[in-house]
Amino acid sequence: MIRRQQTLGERLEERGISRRSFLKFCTTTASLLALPPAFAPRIAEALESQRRPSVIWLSFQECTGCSESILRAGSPSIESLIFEAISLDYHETLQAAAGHQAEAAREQAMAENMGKYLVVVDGSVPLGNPGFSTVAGQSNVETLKQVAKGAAAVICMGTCSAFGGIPYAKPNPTGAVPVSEIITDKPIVNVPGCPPIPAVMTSVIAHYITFGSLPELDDLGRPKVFYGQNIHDRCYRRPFYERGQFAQSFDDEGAKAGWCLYKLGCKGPTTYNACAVLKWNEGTSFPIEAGHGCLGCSEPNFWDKGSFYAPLSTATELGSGTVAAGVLAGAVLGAGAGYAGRKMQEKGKTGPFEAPPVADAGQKENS
Amino acid sequence: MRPDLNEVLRRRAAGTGNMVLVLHEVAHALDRLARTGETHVIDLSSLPMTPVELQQLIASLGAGEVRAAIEAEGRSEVTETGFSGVWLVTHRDTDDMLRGRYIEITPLPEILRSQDADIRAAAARLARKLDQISDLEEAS
Ligand code: SF4
Ligand code: SF4
Repeated sequence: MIRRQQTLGERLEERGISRRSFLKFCTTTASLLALPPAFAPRIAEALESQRRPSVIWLSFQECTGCSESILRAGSPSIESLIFEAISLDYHETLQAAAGHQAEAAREQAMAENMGKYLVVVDGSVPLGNPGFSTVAGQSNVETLKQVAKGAAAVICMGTCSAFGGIPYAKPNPTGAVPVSEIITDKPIVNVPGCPPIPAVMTSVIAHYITFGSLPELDDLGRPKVFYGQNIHDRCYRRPFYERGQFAQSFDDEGAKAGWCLYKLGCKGPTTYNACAVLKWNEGTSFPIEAGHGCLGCSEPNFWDKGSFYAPLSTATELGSGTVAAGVLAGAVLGAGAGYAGRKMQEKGKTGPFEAPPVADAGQKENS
Repeated sequence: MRPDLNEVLRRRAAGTGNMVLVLHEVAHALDRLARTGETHVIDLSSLPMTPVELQQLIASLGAGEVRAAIEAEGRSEVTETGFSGVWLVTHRDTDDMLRGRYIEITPLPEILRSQDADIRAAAARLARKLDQISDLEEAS
């Protein structure tokens, strides 16, 4: 039986989402991708075309936090509109189908969309013992190779698939590796973060649907529009850092006054992510705003860089292998922000300079 | 030589200078709209401005005759500025987080119009409603 494909308009209508909401989504997505507003109608047109790219979502050694972040099951947001524009044909955690039926759906989607489907991966791939993580009796590495073969591109959702993440941390008992160590002949986009920001993921897919290509990437394979910015450079506590005003403990006067968290282990100066701009929990705040330093979760080996609570000057310890080389590439890329960070590291316990406070330099936009 | 960070901070506090640039862009676009009918949109999040500059920009555009609130997956506000044809559009999501702020140079921002797809759906809905009402009337 051939089922007539519903148009996007019909699907939105069924869900009670107005055309205005859709226009709004396209406009704000253009902004997120740093595209001129004139691109909004083009995004709308592309999302509306009947070409809904097939997406196969593979979950390996992961905690489901990344899926959770994107779906935000509790309060589906405007980002979830993207799921109307793709055909999510296989997602182990979400699909109703199970067993042979589920695997058959995957095979079918792959066969029908050979060379055109997108693969989204969350979780790292264990090479140690294939039995550490299997689905339907197949090891993760086999599944990945088989599914990636016919893919147009692979999107690594989260630090685990992008850089190995927590399973990759020492002593890496499962022999975990990132996707990029197994798949070398397909375009790969890394969307790291533990978990990544939902809007980043939806924007990457929207970009792919609109232009048929992936956004511009940095040396670590991350979309530049989102990972080109350093947490420290966009941090609202930065003026305190510049003035050498540091909280020394989580409950001292400095902490209460909102001073810089550098000495409490903040990894902002060496971390590239959009948290300080896009924020978390529906835009409420980001970790530094909640009083805790950045853990550096979107960087390779973030788990092995010493204590989360030791200042960068003492905590730096690079891991080994390919990912460590990536860290160095990232460090060169971030020379600007790195300057301030290194300055701090050289100086150890004092700020780069002691300066009188400058009025309203740290003003923060509330509206 | 180490940069004088105090100087950097002072400059940042003083502003980016982008406010005047935006006003120029608006003026040129408004001129084009008047002459040729060509519309234009400026994404305010795409250029850095201090909060003070943003306030100054909004204040210098002033308030016009129209102020509309739209509830579409979150609140959006559309206000005509003191200059006809120059609109300020703000989009928020369902959690009231600011998702975008734009200056539109147009006779009518697109988001304000009833959309064709919504109109078609509405026509069908109203027809169904009338059917239901006449069914009820027949039954009683
Ligand atoms: S060290 Fe951390 S808290 Fe301090 S300014 Fe940088 S990012 Fe912000
Ligand atoms: S603030 Fe740092 S640790 Fe926290 S989510 Fe953002 S990048 Fe990751």
